[in-house]
Amino acid sequence: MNIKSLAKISKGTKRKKREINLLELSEEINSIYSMHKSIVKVADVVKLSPEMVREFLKIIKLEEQVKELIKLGLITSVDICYRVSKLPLKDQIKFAKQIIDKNLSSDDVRAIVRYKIDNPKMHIERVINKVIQSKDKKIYVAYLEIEEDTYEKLLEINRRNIVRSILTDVIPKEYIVFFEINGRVVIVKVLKEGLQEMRNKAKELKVPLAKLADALVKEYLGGINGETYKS
Amino acid sequence: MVEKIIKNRNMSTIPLDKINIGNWNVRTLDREKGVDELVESILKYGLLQPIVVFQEGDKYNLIIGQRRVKAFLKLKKKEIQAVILPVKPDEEHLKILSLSENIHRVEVNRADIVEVISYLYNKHGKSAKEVAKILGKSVPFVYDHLKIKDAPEEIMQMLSRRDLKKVDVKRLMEIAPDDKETMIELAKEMKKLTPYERKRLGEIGKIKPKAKVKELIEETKKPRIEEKIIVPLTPSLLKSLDSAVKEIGLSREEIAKKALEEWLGNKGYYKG
Repeated sequence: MNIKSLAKISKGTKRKKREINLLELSEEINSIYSMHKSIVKVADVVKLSPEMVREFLKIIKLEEQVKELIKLGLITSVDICYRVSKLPLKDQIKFAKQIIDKNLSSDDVRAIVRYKIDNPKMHIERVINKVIQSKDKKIYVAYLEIEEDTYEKLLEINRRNIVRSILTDVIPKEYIVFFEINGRVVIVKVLKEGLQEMRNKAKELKVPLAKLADALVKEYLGGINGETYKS
Repeated sequence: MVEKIIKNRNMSTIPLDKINIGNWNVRTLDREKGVDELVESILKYGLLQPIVVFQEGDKYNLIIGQRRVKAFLKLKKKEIQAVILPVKPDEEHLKILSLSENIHRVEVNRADIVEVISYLYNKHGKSAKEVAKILGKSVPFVYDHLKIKDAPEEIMQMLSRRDLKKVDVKRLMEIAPDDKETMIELAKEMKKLTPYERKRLGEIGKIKPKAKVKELIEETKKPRIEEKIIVPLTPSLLKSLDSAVKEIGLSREEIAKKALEEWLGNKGYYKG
């Protein structure tokens, strides 16, 4: 066991500082395990808890295609890998793909694995849907104000439709729960993913979230008729 | 005492057919669980940890290492390496020895842990601190298990079969602490619920202690919708809010909620 290898492990166990993927890290830890043959001893050497060492060691036992996803950096959480490892090999890749596609959290993964273990005959996709549908929904309510000047520049007869269409270009429809325009104030209720899209767009336009609708309308007006667009 | 017994132990290879599995091991359930994996590991690496026994005549009573013995028998081995304790430990020491190895390694059945913790708690003047010290675990770990020690037998059986988790039993004890029938009825329904629904059942059950089982389950199956309002703040308001966070020690959201409650209350819109 050389110092370089230890440093690699030590750095890699912290997600933000990690330079190697989880699979490489798990292989490094496994090589120490094959020398000491004791999880407690490995834990002592790599300065991790035995539970954490146990979780890392499960990664190399995952289904080959899942390991490929980890290698690509598409799954970066040890906890998630450990939970996936509790499922039969045939279910692991289907589940791993859903984790990535649906951006499932550690809590979701834990709940799904638990439910699948309790219901071994239920198909993994059905288990995922059932658990996710049973989850409490968080809806984010944002009030987006359009400045008077900007608002005035919009064609009066079609203001609502234009604002709606501009915003739905940014937030996919499936994430919008409620949409209303009350004068110059746009009230949008969105799912977490919708809020993220809005935040990303606001960041891109370098405006606070509350000014997003205003910035988007300005962008739209500039795009169709330059700064001087007037109805 | 336990330390003294361990200090004076002997290490030797003993014949497998002289081992009594007996009732000393704390693992009363899941005795076959993980044996096949252990067989594989033994084939690959050999026996990494000897079993623990005490001698009685020409027999050896097994204290720790049931799964290892079963794996060796599956491999048709004749002998196994063992730590032989010099004296027969009393019931308490046997339980401690057995459980302390098990709770640090492979998952032991929760119901077994509850049983031992409860036994030690009663024996040591109901001191959770003392039990924690004996087992080398934290005080919250002990309290957590003590909370469910009075659950009805049927519920403990479900915990043993892993139909319920420890947290589920805790939830049931909070929903219907003095109503065994409701608890059992709820437990049967709980088995069919997803983990998110089980959590919700615990929360709803506490708010509606008089609700019927059917009503609780129906409500539990409906996901709740929580609205989070995003309010833009001016820099000066944000600065003031952060000063309050620092001074009062509450989060931004908690202070905002309190401010809203107070304002709405003063204006007569909110009655709490």
